[in-house]
Amino acid sequence: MAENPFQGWLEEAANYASVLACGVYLSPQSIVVKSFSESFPEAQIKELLQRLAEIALGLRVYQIGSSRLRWVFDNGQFHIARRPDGAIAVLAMNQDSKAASTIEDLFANFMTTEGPAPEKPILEK
Amino acid sequence: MSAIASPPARAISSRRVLLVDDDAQFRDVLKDYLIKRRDPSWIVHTAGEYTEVLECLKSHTVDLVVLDIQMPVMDGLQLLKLIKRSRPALPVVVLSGVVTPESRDYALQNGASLILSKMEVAAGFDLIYPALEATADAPLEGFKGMLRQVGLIELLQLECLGRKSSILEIKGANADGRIYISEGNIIHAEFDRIFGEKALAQLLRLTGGEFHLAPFSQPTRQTIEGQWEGLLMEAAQSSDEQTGEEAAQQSEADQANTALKPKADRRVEEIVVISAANDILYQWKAKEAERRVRLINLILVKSAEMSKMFPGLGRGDRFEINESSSRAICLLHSESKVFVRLSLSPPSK
Repeated sequence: MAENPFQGWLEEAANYASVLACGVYLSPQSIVVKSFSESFPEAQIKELLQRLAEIALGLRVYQIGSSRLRWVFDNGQFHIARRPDGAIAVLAMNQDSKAASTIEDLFANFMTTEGPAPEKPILEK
Repeated sequence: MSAIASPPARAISSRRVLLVDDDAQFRDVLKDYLIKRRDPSWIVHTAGEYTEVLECLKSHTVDLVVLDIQMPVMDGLQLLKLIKRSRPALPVVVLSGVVTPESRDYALQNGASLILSKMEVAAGFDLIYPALEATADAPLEGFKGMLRQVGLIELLQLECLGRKSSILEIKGANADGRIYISEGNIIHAEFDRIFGEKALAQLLRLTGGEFHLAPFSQPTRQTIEGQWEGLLMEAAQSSDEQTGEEAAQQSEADQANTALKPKADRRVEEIVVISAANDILYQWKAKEAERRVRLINLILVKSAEMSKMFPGLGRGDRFEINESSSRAICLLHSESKVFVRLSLSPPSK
């Protein structure tokens, strides 16, 4: 199986101490995650990404965009970016995290990472 | 006064409530509803007038008082003051057939945790039950002010929505601050040696201390302009991004630089405030308020799911949607949920 094009982005996120977990959703079958904290197990981050994809779709019903989301909880927060091709990235951060520039840098790279080649359309014979 | 027997095996998690209403029929209906509840179970005391209230409070431990306003001899608002004088930490929910802005303000300023209309009760106790349970369970931590259940942001919202003029004086652990509200607009804030929106952000970031409302007087200067809804949202957001220490240590030069930097203009486009029971308490320019209510509920449900998925995460506090030209924010943590949509224009050069 070809390596996920966002694997490098996950590796990059791993360099930042303020990132507790991260992941990228391409499709229900293609989700890559990395966790650096016991509080954010990889299985749950995968599940989270599935739900975020649903929410991003759901927001369309409310005529609200979903290119950048931030979900703040008592003890942590999720930063979410969505590309025009539908890929979604999530960063799990501490609540007290003062890493605005880290987030901006990582999401800027996420937005410009070359995504997977579009599948060739199946031509009807 | 009558004390109603609790369930035989008294659970540790029982809530002890005193219902005060001169309408015995209403009292009994609410009492029956509560004592049928389990997990937590409720121990219900009732009283029809103030002497019974004082006697009950003397002889029983009570976690919550539910108080009617319209009562003979001493009305509920007078009784509220009396209860709060001797038991300032005891949560009191005021329940009234007619809630006027004046009676609401008076009750809140005299320590009521929550104001409920009997109209809401008429639609079914299930609508108000979560609010009663939450009020009985609310911890005593946080700000020690007139409004035990209400945070600074909510208090500011109340003052602004009511188009009040007042000074909110805040005593933090290391420094004091003031927020000036003139006819519902936040016009000035000061905290330590910081002024304006930065001070407002720092004040709203405080997690404990004391506050009280003082009569309005003109500040020496006006440092804040703009619609209060946007200011509160921005302050809440920036408070996440900068600690109090950082702001206090920020040099005068830095502050001057920040002041000179062009900032995107924000304009509030839409506001919806809903109660815990999903009633629309306030809306402004919301063409599809019902749709916003559904959106807030979707976010609440999803937040609860995430809190379950990540047990250490705590409750959902805020959800933000940021686009290049607009921002929408749902405040989720308070009794009332707030949806605000702002448009962002690029800074003018």
